[in-house]
Amino acid sequence: MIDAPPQPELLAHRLAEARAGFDQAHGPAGLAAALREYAGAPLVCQDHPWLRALLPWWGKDDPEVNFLTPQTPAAPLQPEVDTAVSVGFGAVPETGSLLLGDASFGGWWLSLRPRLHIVVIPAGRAGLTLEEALTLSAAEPSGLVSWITGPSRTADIEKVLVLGAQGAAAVQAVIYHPESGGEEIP
Amino acid sequence: MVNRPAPSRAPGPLRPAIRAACHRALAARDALVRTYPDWEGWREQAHALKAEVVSRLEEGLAELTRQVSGWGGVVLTAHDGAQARELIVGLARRHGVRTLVKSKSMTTEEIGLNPALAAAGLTVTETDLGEFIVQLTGEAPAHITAPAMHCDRTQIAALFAARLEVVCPPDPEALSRAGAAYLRPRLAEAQMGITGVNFAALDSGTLVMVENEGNLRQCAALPPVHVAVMGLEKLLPTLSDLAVCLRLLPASATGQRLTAYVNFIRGLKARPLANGAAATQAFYLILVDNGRRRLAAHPRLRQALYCLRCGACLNVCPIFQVGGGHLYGQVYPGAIGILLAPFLAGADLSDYCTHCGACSLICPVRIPLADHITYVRQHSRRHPLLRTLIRGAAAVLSHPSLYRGLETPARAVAAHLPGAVAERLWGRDRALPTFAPRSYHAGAGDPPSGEDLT
Repeated sequence: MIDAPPQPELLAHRLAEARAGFDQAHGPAGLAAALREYAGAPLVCQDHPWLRALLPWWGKDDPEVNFLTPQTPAAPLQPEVDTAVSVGFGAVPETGSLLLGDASFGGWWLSLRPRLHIVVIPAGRAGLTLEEALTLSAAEPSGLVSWITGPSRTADIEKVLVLGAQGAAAVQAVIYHPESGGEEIP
Repeated sequence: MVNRPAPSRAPGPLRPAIRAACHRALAARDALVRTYPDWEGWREQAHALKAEVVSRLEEGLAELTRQVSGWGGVVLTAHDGAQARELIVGLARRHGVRTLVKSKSMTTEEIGLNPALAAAGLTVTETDLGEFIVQLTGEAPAHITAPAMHCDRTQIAALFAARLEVVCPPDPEALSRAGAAYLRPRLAEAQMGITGVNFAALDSGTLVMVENEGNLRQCAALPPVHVAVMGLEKLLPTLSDLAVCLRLLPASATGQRLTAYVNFIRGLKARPLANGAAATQAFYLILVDNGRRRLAAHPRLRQALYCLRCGACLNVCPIFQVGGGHLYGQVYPGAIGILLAPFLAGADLSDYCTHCGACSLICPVRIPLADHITYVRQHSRRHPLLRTLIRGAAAVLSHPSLYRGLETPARAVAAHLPGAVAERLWGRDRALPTFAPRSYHAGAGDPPSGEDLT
């Protein structure tokens, strides 16, 4: 079991280098507040207990939350989705990478089409080395794992950097600290 | 879509663009590498890893086949480009495929896949923006990692207007978005996706693919059939060994700590259907030999198979900076291209080198590229008369008595060399320099009066 101590300063720095955002949230109320700050509508979330748990803190003026389930799989392919939220299984401060599996179906898909991809990372896994991240990736039950290091990008025309080339134009990491005695790492 | 004609030389006015792009990539790489105190150790480590897998290639390929088959993939081996093309066209027919999307893959360029797909009546669209641009121009990629580096924004805007009927200002961001908008429905509707493979870990059969745009993920995940085309040498002993390669490859290619996406495939992907159901995607891994086994058996040049395809040896090469990839007339340009060409393409590019040695210094897996190019040149069969003369000159220069003995007759021959011969040897626009009145040896220690030897 890898339980890497978080290195929030380094992770925030590397995420900024990769043109991604960094935030931290404590408990469902804090996570709801963080998502409220960034998310636009339409909003699609991975069907995950941590994201279901924030609903009591989600107001009627907030963007409607649509949970992605195997019964609604085509949703992320719709271009009009503004924001997607998924729960990753780790982060690598050395590179600013966020680790996503496909075990809960949405991880692989949710970064494909929305403008903004918010990735919630358990705080206990936010300080992985590259080697630890590879070990965890190999152990993922899903056959598909993606590491995301900032937004989609291209510099194919005169080496001018353009974000949001064919994937999310913005990536926001939220390091989540479950309340003590609360949720297990997914 | 268009088929590509034979590669052409970079147009003169675009040569500064190639040089500038190389220098920007090198500056980004240097800035990052300066912050890596362990860089040299990582180079050594990666060299050792690749040496291990290349020395046990057959064993590794058998294990990879076992592992990938174990998770449901189908592994096929192609001995050459023709067989690879035949296999992929056959898979397309078996699955009733009419439309395909591709991510950037030098191995598919090497085997000439796109013309074969077009000849079979299939529609293939390149989805990496740079590859898409050169597919529209009908050219080969100008660089391993920056295929359209020789095209400027004005040219691309005109290209999009003419070929896509998309009117777009000559602005990189607007053009990139226009290209993505054109590609999106093709990605969603394609019946087969073709990708390359950067690394294959033998301990788990995990296939690793790196990219920046997100098009590779879509090629790999959206269509009902995914075909991954991989050169035999992309093996790594374990997935843990990937760490050092991930530190070296993006840094050397673009000066990034890591590419925007690293994709790991170790199982069949569930593919969502519009009606809410899900289907399992078919997966094929095509292992391409095409001369690699012969190269792996070469006691010296086998090190060319350690290459990560970062393109740094292209960026740093003074010849590449002048002409770009099209100058070489082969899929793989630059120093690594010179080593691969005899084995993968039956070509000899050994004259495309100044022996400055910069490629050896920058290679992230410490391939002594310049030394190997010297070896290839020594064994080259091009320009036999010139090479005989060079070998003769080397013999003369390494034997002082022979040199001194030949000096007087050489002066006599040069003084009476016919103009046409001198022109042929030296070029029409230059005069053949005359010999000094007396040799350096004869006058050593006794410079003529008034001559400044400093």
